Amino acid sequence: MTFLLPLWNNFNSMQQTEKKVDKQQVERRVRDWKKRVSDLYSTIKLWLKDSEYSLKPGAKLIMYEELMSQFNVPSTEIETVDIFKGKDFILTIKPKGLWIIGANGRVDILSTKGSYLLVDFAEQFKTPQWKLFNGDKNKGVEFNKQTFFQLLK
Amino acid sequence: MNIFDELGKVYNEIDTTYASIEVNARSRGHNKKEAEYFGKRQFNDQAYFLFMFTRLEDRVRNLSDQLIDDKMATLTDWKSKRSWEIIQKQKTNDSLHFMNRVSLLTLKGGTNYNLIKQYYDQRNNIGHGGSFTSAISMPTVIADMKQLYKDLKQ
Repeated sequence: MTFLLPLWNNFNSMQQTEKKVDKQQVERRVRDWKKRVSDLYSTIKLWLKDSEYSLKPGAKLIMYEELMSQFNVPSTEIETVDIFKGKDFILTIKPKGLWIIGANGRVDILSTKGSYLLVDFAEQFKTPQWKLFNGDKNKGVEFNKQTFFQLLK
Repeated sequence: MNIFDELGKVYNEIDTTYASIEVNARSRGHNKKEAEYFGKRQFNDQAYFLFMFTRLEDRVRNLSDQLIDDKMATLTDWKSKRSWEIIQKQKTNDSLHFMNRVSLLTLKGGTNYNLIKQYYDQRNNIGHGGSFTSAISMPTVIADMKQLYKDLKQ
């Protein structure tokens, strides 16, 4: 039986992980996602303070992902924002999805010059670790004021 | 440049084109067009994800076939060979499940196995037209596929 133990333990721990997913857990993750997105916008707004750019709320998107349906969690609205230089539209930021393989959410940044992905690689409910990807790079860079302003130029 | 980088490059070209149309529509308040291209980008994500997954599927199939053939050719002791005979029969009549093939190449329940299982489930969800499909982070997919392709061994 000893030789089966590692496999059994692994199977057991996988089952326990699956058991943790319930309606409350899904609701908590949705709340956490909306907060992370909202915090992201607040951070960007701070970065833009005293600059020639401004952030304005855009049309809200409906969030209704598979796990929400599975656990009867109602759909919810999630914010998007647009960045302007004076009256000129520069880019838009839209949350794309929370449950993605290998990461903890994806937000799209679309500008007239190209598309970028912001992917959160933090563990669930931990401080976000946003990485910025553009079309030509496989390796993301840290998302910070400097990398964000490069998108605006 | 490997196949995943090449596919990623083509994917990016299409995504950039669609994203540009989507963002232009948004800046002009053309909501319908914006939603249309938002949807098209999602289809592009799914199409290229499926394309990449088929490359990984081929790798799993080829390596597991080689492993089974090698075992059948080299094992002489019946006690060692008997389970491989059953597996070979499944291989011959094409009833050897994909994830069982994966478990011949990497530890069942291990990191790589679980990652392939997640992608396999996503592939089935997209392939069978499920009502929900998860968002895909293509840079993550490309990096994972390259790593898995390299890690999987006989």
